[in-house]
Amino acid sequence: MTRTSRLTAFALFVAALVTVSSASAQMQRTRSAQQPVDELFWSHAIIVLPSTTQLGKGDLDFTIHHTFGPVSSGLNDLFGLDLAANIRFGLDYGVTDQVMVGVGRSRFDKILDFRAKANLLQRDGWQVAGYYNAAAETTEDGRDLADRMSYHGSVLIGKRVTDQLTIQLAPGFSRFVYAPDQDVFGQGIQTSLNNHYSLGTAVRYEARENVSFIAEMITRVGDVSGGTNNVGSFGVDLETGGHVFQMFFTSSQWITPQHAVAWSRTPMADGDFGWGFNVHRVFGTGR
Amino acid sequence: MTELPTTDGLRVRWYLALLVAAWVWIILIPSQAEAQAWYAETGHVEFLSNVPLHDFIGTSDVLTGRIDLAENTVDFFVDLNTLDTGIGKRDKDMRKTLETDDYPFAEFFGTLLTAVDPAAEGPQPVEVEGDFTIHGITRTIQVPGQLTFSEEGLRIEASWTLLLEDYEIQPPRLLFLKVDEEQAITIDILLTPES
Repeated sequence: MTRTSRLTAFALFVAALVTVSSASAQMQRTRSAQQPVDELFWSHAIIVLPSTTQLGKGDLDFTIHHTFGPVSSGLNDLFGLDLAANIRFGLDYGVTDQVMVGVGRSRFDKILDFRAKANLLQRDGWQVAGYYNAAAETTEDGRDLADRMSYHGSVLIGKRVTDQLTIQLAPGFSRFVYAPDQDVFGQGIQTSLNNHYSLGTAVRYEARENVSFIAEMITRVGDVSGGTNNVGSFGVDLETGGHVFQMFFTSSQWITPQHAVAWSRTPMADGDFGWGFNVHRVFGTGR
Repeated sequence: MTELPTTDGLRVRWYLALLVAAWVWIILIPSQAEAQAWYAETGHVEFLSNVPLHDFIGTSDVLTGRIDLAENTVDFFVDLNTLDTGIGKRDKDMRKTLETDDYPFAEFFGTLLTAVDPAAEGPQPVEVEGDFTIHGITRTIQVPGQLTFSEEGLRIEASWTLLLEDYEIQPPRLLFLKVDEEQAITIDILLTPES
């Protein structure tokens, strides 16, 4: 037998062994194409601004949002805790993974608000959503219901910059059917406007897997009602399974975006803020 | 005039023909075995987590499985990122707990301890033994189950209890409530003959 023939026989033998061994090997482990996309924010609201985050289909989120008076009220009013607090109870529901709707009721002006948010784009760390809110001040003051309506629409543009850092822009438009000349505290509003343009900016830094710092700014663009101010807020998100707690300081006691844009009076520039907190509890109704 | 092959030449050709025949025969054996191999990528797996007043079920429908009756091997895996508990936030918490970026799969590879009869009708109780891996920890387990051959294919149903501490999984907390250490796992998959 020639050397070439022996080599050929050896090669055939090795090939046969490889064939047999591969037949009994484990399957190749490959990841599924259905990979989850982490949300940019832990809850569907940053503080006052809505976030790009959506509820999952069938998720029901119960929210308590509480804001106290400004800390500048001093010790006599326990730094705002003794002053009139605004509180909103809300329910939001994920109709699909891309669309959520919600309803809530706030104490100030007995505002009943309905809102909806739809995911428009989610790709490469970007998330874009459209947000709409319609609110009625249900306090009886002689006005028709139509005159007590206000609306807010905004485009939410979120971007994950790094694994820890997320930013969001939210250009918005608010419309009040009736522009009051005084606010809920009886304080006058000079040159009250029906229409308000605003730019919301927000940042979130995830310091730990269940702790992140959040800050947002609502800057009015163009004409503003006299005696009102831009809104700044900053705080911390704490996530525990099923709940998100948000503790923050904010220069607005108003909770619905259009009222925060139009009627916030606390002078943030002077460093005056009030304490507040949000609690989100998510229930699954799909299973 | 044609030159006759030499004795050495004939012997070499005979050896080569024999080797080629042996190789073809060896290749054919796994081919026959594959006729007894069953495969699917759309199996159902679920786990039940007990939390006081908050019991929940996580499911996935992309369980991949393969059984080779000739090789007597049983092979399953599922991408843990596909588990759905019904609440997006809870899913995210679960992925963190299981560290799915580092340990993406729950997988089992083992052998059938029980002989099965493909011609038999109705469910056949079986037991498998093998290595189950999750969270980067591998343990040898025995799992009871049942196989059912039908015109649709080969259905496999099995369930067992997983103890989180065996796999160094820290039970997550839902607020002040701790998820139970024991997780009831169930799989249900319809395999079809492997092509």
